[in-house]
Amino acid sequence: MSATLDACLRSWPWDPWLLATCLVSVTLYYRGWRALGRRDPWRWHGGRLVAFFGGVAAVYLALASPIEPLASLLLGVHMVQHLLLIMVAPPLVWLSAPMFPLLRGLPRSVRTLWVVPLVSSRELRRPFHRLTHPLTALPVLIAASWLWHVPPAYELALRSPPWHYVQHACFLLAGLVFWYPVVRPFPSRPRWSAWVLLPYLILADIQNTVLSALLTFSARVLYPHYTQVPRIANLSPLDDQTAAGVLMWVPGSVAFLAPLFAIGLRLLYGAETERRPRAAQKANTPDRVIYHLPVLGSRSTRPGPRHARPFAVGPLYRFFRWRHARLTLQIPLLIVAAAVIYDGLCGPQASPLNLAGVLPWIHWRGLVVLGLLAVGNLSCMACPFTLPRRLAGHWLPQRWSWPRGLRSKWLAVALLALFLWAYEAFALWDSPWWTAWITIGYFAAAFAVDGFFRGAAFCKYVCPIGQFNFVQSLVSPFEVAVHDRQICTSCRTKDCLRGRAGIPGCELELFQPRKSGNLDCTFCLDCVQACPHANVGLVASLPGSQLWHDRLRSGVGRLSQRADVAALVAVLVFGSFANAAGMVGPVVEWQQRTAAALGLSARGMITIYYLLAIVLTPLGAVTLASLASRRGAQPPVALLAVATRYTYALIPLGFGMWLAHYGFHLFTSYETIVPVTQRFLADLGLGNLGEPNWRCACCLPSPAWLLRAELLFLDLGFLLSLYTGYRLSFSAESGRRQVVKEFLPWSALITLLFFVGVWVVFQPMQMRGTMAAGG
Amino acid sequence: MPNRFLRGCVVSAPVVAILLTGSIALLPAVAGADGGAVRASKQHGNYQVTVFTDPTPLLAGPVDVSVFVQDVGTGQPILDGQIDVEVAPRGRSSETIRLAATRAAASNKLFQAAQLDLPHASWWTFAVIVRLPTDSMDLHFELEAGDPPPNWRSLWPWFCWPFLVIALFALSRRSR
Repeated sequence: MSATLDACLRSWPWDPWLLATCLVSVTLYYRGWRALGRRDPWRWHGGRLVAFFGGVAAVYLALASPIEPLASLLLGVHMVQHLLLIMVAPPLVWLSAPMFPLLRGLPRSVRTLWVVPLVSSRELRRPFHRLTHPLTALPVLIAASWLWHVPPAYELALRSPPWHYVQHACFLLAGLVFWYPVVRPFPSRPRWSAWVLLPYLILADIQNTVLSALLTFSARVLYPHYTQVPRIANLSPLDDQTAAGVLMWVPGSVAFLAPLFAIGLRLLYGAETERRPRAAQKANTPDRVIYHLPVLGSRSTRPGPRHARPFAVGPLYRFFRWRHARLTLQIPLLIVAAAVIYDGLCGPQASPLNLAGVLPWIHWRGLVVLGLLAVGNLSCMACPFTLPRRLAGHWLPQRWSWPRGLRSKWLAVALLALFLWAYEAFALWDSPWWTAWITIGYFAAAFAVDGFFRGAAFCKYVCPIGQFNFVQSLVSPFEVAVHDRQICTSCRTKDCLRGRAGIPGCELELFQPRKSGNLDCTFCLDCVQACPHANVGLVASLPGSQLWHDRLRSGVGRLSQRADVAALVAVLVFGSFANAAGMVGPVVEWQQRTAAALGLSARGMITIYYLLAIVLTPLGAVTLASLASRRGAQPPVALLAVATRYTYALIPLGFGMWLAHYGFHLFTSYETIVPVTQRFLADLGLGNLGEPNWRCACCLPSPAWLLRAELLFLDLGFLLSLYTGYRLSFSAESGRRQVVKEFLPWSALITLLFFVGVWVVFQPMQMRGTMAAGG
Repeated sequence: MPNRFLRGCVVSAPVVAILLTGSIALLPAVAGADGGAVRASKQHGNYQVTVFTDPTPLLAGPVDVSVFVQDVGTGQPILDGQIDVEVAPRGRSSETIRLAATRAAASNKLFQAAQLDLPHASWWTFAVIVRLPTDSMDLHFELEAGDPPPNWRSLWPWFCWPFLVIALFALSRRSR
């Protein structure tokens, strides 16, 4: 092989987004095709799978193979790229009849809740039917082909990557629209005579012939770009253009004329190409097959478990049922906490050099939110602060009930606001000494509270970290719940609540059959081990769905009647924005300017900032939204009731902001742990892990994907918040117009917060717990 | 009920298919002309050197400089040259940025590329030094790099797509 050819064949541009899209499409199709094939193997044969894979491969080849880089040097290669997008990929995709497999391949909840209501809407169906009518589809193809081959348009696409992308999108979409009436993929019903397809394909071929003849026989180079770029293998620009014209002419004509003959023959001789085998016809008629397909099915009516058991097999399930599972997770964290305390008190008082300056504020926070995103409240599950409770049980009475007046979240709200303020006011992130004392304080408080009071009072009523986890885990994909409610109705012992054989029941008094969602659940797994029927476990739920109803929740009551929980949510949501915004350049400068103008100290300014951001602003914003929302409520509802009901809709957006913020610190500064650990162990005289490389104690340059990921977290939080608000407005059992009136003010508030979040992530963020100049 | 399911399937499936397959096109595929715009070209003896830069127009920030060396007689690319790229603000050679252009850094392996980071907007002097087994040559040219656009201008689809979802959702609900 020549070196030139070898170099060409190695020129595969790396496009992870395109690759990911292709893989997702192929996976969805394969999933759906396999499920459908089990019911009707005659219709869902291997050819369909091959066609879909071929169609996707054609798109990938066109956009991310050596064709892409060479297309800017040779018009002929560029033509191949466009032919793949117009003539190859679309018919292959339609031949695969992708509709049912793609729908069936989606997760059931996504399919039934989102996709089917959307795609079955008249507003989408009507334009789609018009677009795919031959009288529209042909002009669409002609317009796309001719307009993009006008020299100024083609040059624009070659000069500007965004326009080049638009050109490719136009070609692919025009191809899909054009080939739809020709292939008529199952289960589409023809709305026009097949005879129409004959002039349809002939006209398409004629326009293709005229356009390719213009390219082939032109005496001058139509696209000056190709006269400026170096010529490969001394092929002149005019010869290249002629070759491109021939490529468009011959394979293009074949693509149009082959189906023309096939359709013509079928019309003339009445060949039934889709004749089902008699046996297959007998087994299940097409209609029977179709309506048994669970494409639009909502909830399974089959008897059986309410929830699937995601960890029902394998070592993970056994691990979670193991009695010492939680302790196994807690002990390593206890050791880490001890190291943080020791280093914070005795180590160097520079946060980038100290375990207490790095581990809690960069790694632990980031991992907590990622754990909440991926699983659930893993942070409380592995929390080492609750270990002293066991000791306290031996040494202290542990018999009093938590004071009735404090049995709410108000104390936690105050502590949380205090913590958010103190974090900035005393620069806790920059003080290993303070960090160590906060950790000690946590152990002491947990020991004292749980030593005197029953029922995990520290977790439920005091711990600010716990409250953070409880609220955010309402958006997590897993919850501790029962698999089958039928088993619980026949259960007489209620061991999940009372305990059994030395295994404690739920100390937070969450009765599993009536528990709903993760609020107040520490994932301690006591109920999992106590249940004699093995009927409790980690089960999957649609993220955010725990917020869409207002059922009575064991240990919590109705969320709409818990103003204290709503206040906690408001502080956490607005706190997420305040906490992130407090670290970005423009806000820091504003604080400095305002402090100078008002003659305030830095701490005084931070106090005012937090008073505004997490007390007055939430109060004002929620009150205004509630007032506006109440005007649409029928019958009239109390202001507090409206505020309480809708504040929960803000949780997903707040979680998105926490994820964006803590994720940023984790991914730009995760390496800081290496030199700090080396230093710590060297100071203790343990091991020889080498000289600390303090360059690692600085922030890494923010990778390009990170900002996109931050925006994605905010986007998803935004959408989920809006949907939650929408669902909550429906739970008020009002008419549609009323729903809109009630929901609009809250959607405005959510949108405003979303844009604040977007603005924040685009600002330069201070790098905390890291060295300013890399060493 | 089954009939409703059947009707729903038939009417919704084509729309789903076109949305999902169309989404392939809607993602940011590599569509740019690889190497960017031709900035300078020079023939020296039997060799032709062409330099491309990307983005077009040139902006402060990450810049790709791709160099294509070919034999004038045969038109074949020369793949074993050693190429260095030097960039300095006009009249301030003390701030020169030097980088080797390699094939590994180029997505089109006929080229050799270097990725630079222009720290600010200004006029920049580019020097491309090519050393071949039998010859060596250099090429000089000047380009003005403009201010980079704010991040949000290049990333707007990343925070605007939820509004498309909202519009589609509103449509679907309105028709119910």
